[in-house]
Amino acid sequence: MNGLTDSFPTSRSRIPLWLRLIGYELRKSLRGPVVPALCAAFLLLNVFVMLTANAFPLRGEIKMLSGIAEKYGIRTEEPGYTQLQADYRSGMEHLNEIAVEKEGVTYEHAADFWAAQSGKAAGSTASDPTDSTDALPPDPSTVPPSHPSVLSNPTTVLPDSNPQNNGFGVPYTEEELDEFYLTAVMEWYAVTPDTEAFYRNLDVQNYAEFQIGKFGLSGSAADVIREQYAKLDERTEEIVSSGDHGALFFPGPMYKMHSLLFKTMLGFLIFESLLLTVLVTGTIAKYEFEQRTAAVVYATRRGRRTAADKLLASLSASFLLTAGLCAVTLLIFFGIYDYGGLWNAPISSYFNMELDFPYLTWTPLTVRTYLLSALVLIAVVQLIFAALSFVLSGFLKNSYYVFAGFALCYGLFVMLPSIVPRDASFWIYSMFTPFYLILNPHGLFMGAGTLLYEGKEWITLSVWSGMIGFAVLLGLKRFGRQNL
Amino acid sequence: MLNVHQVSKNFGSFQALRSIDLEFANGVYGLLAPNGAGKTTLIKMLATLLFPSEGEITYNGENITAMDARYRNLLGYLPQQFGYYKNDSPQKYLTYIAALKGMSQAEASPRIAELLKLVALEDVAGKKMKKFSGGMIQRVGIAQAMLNDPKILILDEPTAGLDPKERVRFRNLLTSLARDRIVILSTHIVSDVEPIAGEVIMIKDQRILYKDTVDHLCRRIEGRVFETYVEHDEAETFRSRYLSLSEKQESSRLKIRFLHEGEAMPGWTPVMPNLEDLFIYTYRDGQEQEDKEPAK
Ligand SMILES: Nc1ncnc2c1ncn2[C@@H]1O[C@H](COP(=O)(O)OP(=O)(O)OP(=O)(O)O)[C@@H](O)[C@H]1O
Ligand SMILES: [Mg+2]
Repeated sequence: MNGLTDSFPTSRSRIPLWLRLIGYELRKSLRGPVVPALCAAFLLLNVFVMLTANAFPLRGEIKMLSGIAEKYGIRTEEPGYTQLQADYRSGMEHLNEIAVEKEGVTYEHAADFWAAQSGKAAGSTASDPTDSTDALPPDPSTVPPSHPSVLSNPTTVLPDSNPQNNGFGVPYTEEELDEFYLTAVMEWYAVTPDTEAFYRNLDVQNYAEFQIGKFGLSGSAADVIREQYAKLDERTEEIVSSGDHGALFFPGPMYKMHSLLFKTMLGFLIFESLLLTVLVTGTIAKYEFEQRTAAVVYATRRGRRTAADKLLASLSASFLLTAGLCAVTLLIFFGIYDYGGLWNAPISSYFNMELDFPYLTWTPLTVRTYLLSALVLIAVVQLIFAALSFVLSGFLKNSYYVFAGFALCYGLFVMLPSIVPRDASFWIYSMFTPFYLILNPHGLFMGAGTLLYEGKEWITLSVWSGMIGFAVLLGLKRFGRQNL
Repeated sequence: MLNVHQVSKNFGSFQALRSIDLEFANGVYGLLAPNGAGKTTLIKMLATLLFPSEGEITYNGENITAMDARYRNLLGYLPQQFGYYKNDSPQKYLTYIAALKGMSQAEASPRIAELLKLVALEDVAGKKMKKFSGGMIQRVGIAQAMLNDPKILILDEPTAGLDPKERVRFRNLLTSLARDRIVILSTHIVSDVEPIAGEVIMIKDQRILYKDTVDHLCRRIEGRVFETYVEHDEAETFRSRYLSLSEKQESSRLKIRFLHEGEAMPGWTPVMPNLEDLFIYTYRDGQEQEDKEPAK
């Protein structure tokens, strides 16, 4: 970055003046070690988070699952699925042939085989899938049907975890165990519970009452929640009739891939880019006052219009840094976690459910489209944050105050729902802020919790863009008349 | 023609300048006043960084705020607190300021080379400014002010930090520049303006006290400045009786230059007053509140 912008002043190229001026402002914020060092630190942190995720040791299985999705497709109503079931059945037959030969027993499910083997392996290490970091509270009315899968069995051990004796002390070869494992993985999809019945029996209205009770809502606040859950009920019907509910996905309870990608990774990315945005904007906006160059700069022909250059530079820097950080992080992420055939898997799938309530998106969204929408949303939110920091900088003395002012703003808006009365619909709307929106990046575009309002994302972003745009114009105008 | 009409400037309840009326044509104007008199405040208003609380400033009859970029395009300004970008070289810095002044790179680069030579910085044109001395920085500041060949050149204490050689060069430069432009420089160093200023403006008690040529100003205290020799032990009593303007040790005695209104005593030598005498007289202790003009 430095190399590029450093060359502006001396290059003889025909960059238009206004663009050069924006380049100069960008250079002010990006030169020096702070921004590159922060970017590097954030990337390291993100890689660390990926490598220490619960799913990391399971990435081999994840690859296997995406391979299955690639081979057979993800839709249960398509012929690939029938093939999957057939292949699973022959795999099961083969398993039992060998099991009879070596152990003298048969298994109904591949999962049972693995449970039995795990039972024999004393002291085998197990990962802990009960890690409950999710936002959705348990609801007794919607307990999902039990699932006979090795993948949700906490004591499952990877076949290659100990190549010496397989950890089991049983006479199966590596190849056999690998094959049985694939069978078990296929079983997750082939022997599905009645997902349609599960969706049809989801007592969405009861869930609404649960939320209302939990937050002590009444009056129009409760009405809005009921209304939205009623809409969600209709949407559930749509999901079922589209077949999205039964489509293949990474098994949610075991891998929590939705949470890993959209809650953890995007969460880190959002707050990292937020820090960069506020830092860069504060630096650009207050640069002349901190370097005592204001008197020279604002008395030139460009004069106070430099503030507009600073605004554009702040917006571009925020966007570029956010985009760069997200791009590099996600490239590494998808290098580690192979999504393969599951890129097009619908978020609303039964298999994606991590706790007791499925992720029901308001519009049909796949991993790909959810990710893209979330990234667009993050970019817009960062632009709003940049503009907000810019407006704040008009009232504050230096970039540290801008940082503090932004933090204060953030705190106030996040606290807002806890201080407004819970009997009016304003309680819901008080959560329609970019600050609140980005707290749950895994719950965007869907009905869940109390912030389930359909289209809240785009309502929030449009209203805030408008308000901030207006504030920015006022700020620029005010700066034009300000004594310096 | 740059005009200041009935301009006042308040900072909150504090009034820094009151009902200022000034007219500037081409030539050098020295703004001479002690610290805190309001020189910078006046200059910042001329540079559009501050807006008058009352009154207006016009250039050829047009309000400079309304002229906006058109006015600033005519302006070269060296602020008193000259901030610069420490990691930039003069070359880079001037290229940037030229861009802010609306100059294309093709226009700017010969101009920058010319100016770097003029302020004797061509040898360090590519060096980072953080290693520069105060005087070198000040010269970069002078160069940036002149980039756009301004019709109005305003310099707030431009000679601060310059060595005598540079000071002389700078004075000569201003004289040659002033032929076809307005040059306003503020200072509290009398010798900076005395040789070059066509007119000297003195501010006292938030108002313009004088705006006149050096000769006319000096004539105001003509016949009242003397020199004499006193013994060391008499010096204290002498100072309490007369306003001492300057003192110099000569052999065992003190040579005192002083001001006295009234009869000359024997042993006093009348001398030609200079601007410094007037400055000290004008801003002598106990004179802050009253702007009693000296008798004609
Ligand atoms: N932004 C401000 N807010 C409040 N008071 C101010 C401000 N700027 C200047 N002043 C006051 O106005 C008066 C004039 O200040 P100014 O800087 O114009 O003086 P000056 O003649 O330039 O002094 P110096 O020779 O020290 O540079 C001073 O009393 C100063 O304290
Ligand atoms: Mg000053």
